Amino acid sequence: MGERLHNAEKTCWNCPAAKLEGNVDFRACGQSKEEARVDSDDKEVLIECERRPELGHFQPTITFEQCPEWEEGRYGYRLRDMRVLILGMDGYLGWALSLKLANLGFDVAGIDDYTRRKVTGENDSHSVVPVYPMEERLEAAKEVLGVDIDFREMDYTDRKELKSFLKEFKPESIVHYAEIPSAPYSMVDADHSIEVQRNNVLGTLGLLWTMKEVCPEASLVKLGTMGEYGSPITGRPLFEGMFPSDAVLEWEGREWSMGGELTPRNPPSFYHVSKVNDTYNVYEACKYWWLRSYDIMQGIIFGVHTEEVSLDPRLRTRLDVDERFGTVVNRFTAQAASDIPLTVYGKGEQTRGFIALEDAMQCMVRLISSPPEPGQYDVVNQVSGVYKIKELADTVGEVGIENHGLDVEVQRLENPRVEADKHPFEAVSRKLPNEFGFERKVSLRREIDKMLDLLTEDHVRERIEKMKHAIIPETQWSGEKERPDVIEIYSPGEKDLGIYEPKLDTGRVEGEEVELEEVPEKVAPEIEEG
Amino acid sequence: MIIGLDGVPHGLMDELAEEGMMPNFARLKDEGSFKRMDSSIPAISSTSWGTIITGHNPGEHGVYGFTDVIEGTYTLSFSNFLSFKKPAFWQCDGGPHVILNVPSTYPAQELDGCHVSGFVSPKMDKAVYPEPLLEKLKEMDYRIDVDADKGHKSERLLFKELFDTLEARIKAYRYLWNQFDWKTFLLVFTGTDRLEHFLWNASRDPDHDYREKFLEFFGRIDGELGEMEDRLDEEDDLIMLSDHGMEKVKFNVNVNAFLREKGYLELSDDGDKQKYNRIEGETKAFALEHGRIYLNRKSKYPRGSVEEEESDEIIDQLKEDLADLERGGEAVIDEILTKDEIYHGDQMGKAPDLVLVPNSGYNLRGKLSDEVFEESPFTGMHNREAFLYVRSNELEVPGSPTVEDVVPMINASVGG
Repeated sequence: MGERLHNAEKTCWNCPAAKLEGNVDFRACGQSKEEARVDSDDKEVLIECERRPELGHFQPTITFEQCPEWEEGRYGYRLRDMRVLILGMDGYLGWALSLKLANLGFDVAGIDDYTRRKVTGENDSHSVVPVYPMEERLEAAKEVLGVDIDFREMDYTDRKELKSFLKEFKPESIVHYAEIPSAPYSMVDADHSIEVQRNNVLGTLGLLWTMKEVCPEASLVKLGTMGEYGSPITGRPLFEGMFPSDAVLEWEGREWSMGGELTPRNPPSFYHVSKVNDTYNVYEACKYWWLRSYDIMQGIIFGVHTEEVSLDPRLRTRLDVDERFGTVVNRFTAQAASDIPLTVYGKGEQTRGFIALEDAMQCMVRLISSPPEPGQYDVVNQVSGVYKIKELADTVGEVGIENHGLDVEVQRLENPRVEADKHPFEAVSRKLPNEFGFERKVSLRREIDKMLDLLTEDHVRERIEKMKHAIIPETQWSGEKERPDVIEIYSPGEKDLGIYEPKLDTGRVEGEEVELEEVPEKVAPEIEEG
Repeated sequence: MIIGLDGVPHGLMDELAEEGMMPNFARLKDEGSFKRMDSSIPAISSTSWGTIITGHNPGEHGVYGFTDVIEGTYTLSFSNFLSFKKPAFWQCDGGPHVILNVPSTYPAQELDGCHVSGFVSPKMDKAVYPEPLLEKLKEMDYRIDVDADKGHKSERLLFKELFDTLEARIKAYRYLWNQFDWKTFLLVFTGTDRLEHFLWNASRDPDHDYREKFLEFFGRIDGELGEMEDRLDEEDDLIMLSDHGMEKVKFNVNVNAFLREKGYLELSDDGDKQKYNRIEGETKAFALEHGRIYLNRKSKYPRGSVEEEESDEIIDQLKEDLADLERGGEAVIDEILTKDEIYHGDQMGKAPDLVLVPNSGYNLRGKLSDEVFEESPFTGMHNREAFLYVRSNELEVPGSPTVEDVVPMINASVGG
């Protein structure tokens, strides 16, 4: 590792082991006071280290590079045996992350109440990649990776149970993947809508109070969504949560700095609204209680491959492709594999940010390894590519046709959603590459190709067949349950993609493109019936 | 019985006795031996009290100031009771001992008797041994120290804090007096140091707005001295002392700014680096508070660059340059001492390479500032002019006592 690791200069301020003891004014013999951080040249903040009590009281300025508790790792310095709790560990992202972290040497625990497994049953859907019961997953993790993960079946909104587990495990970082992440699900009817907001918003609020009581030094690494921002018709860039320091509002000849203010939100479903509400709750909690949090505005996730899940069929993570829980690239790939024309809504010029599973996992490890400071609420746009839906359909179609001999078509449907289907789009994603050392590794085409390898296998095709009825959307934002009309069907590449050119601003100079590595191939043993 | 008055210079005690402001002490003065005592170098409470209670110089007890640098880093740690490499006298023999409010003795440790730490004590519950005593102290509204922030807001608030803290301290000592059949009782008043830092001018200027209140504070302590004297028997030994003296501040001197000007100290302006982590590899020397200078040795620091062979030369160069530090024609530094000249023992590895003793009024600080000279919000700064008072039938007092001489006297007192 020739280059300096990205978090080498982080200090005790960022470390969950640092316990704030107060501050001392040295101008006249050390007058001490129990108080949160003060920013003054004359006052020194005192901390004690939970892991190194022999240091007594000291300034929180030991760097990760200098501290023996922080070890060099693949994704930056890593706190030795850092205790990470994953809420929603059984899910698409949760399971993949738990394996990656455990394999890197983190001390991993997780909870889940299997909501995803249950609610997909509501419309008779299921993961098209077979997934095993948690007990078998954990055994396989032990066998294949040699890791022990502590899992408890639990509803994260049960504060009493959660508090008890937090007291026991004492997490140093909490990854919050326990929300219901589906826009169509939140639009089904009043009950679904209310359930989504209860689980997501009130659940998170309860989590914050519990963290404050039990583990205020743990950082909350929370999954938000790029969808919070909406897609402004003006083409205003989607900054990372807050306006940059040089942003200015001008009106009637007067000017104001907008630096540091939360950017406008325009959520396109009640699920997206729940994420916006979370943002405010987390922001306030950091302000009132000196909690620390990264709010991750993640682009639309796609892909099924990580180094760890590819090692064994029992380690595979779930893949939903139904209209409620499937994400668009995954849906298109499944549709291509099963002869369903790819379902583009409206004009298809909706533009979004995207990120592959393996890349998202890399980002998460980097964020967990470089915690925020006490009281710091920070937002990152976790995006590695921006595409129009129509363009994605063309790409999936092309790969399916050229590499897999599939007969792929695209269908445009009347949009069941209320959203702009043609708009300019510019997303800013500078923090992950520039502050956290993130380097995109997964190419869209390559991942689609590998997914098609998997999805065209007989046993997976069969599983898609069984839930096919749930693929075509029927949840209308109007509240009606009705499949939208087909506007037209065409071959991939036939239609032009529209006037707006999507932009992703990573702060890198033009032409400084990073070489994409292939996600390493692992030869999976014969996949058995799941 | 040992009574400490933190930061009170010999001269001031003498004055207050002579001028009738401390009548009980005036009387005691005539009955015993009252001398000037040399404080430690540097004259700072942690180092000085450390020497007073262990009987060893910093080269042996290992505490050279309020702060030290953690090995392998540029991070400052703050000395506390566990930093001392020699035991306090009450940890060496039976007791019982009542130890109340000695600075730099946090966290309180087990002993035969009781121990309540003095400043710097961030958490009350770790400052009290035995634990049941904590409740009792809370009932008395006991506090370890004045709230400095309030002190900065107004003199009125400062005096309220000072008197409230003093009264609680008095309640506590009166309570503890009868709780143990004690061999030694060590009580330190620290409000004196706080008061003098904020309002030293009030002690010098007869027309000062707060002169009366200043004298009232010392008067209150004197009143209690009388009370304590009444409680003592003929054969009890009474020692009163301070850990350092006080004098008027002319300026705060940021030694690091001077070192930077002269090219010894290179600091990064990279926003990510905090405090002493800004020290760059080209740095030859940096300063900690109270005139301590450390060479940026390769063998000690992450970006250390000074080789052993170079150190003598750099020290000589530093001595020359520091002798030139002046303000309005007056030299800032009185003496520049090397560690070997003033310390000895097995903790020499942690000692500063040079210690600067300032001329009167120049308060040497460790701030990483650009300005060499700064106004101080305080009017009083430390000096080495402590005092020692002994009333005893048997104890012999050295001709020119230093803070190292206290423990031998205590041992002689309880042993004899």
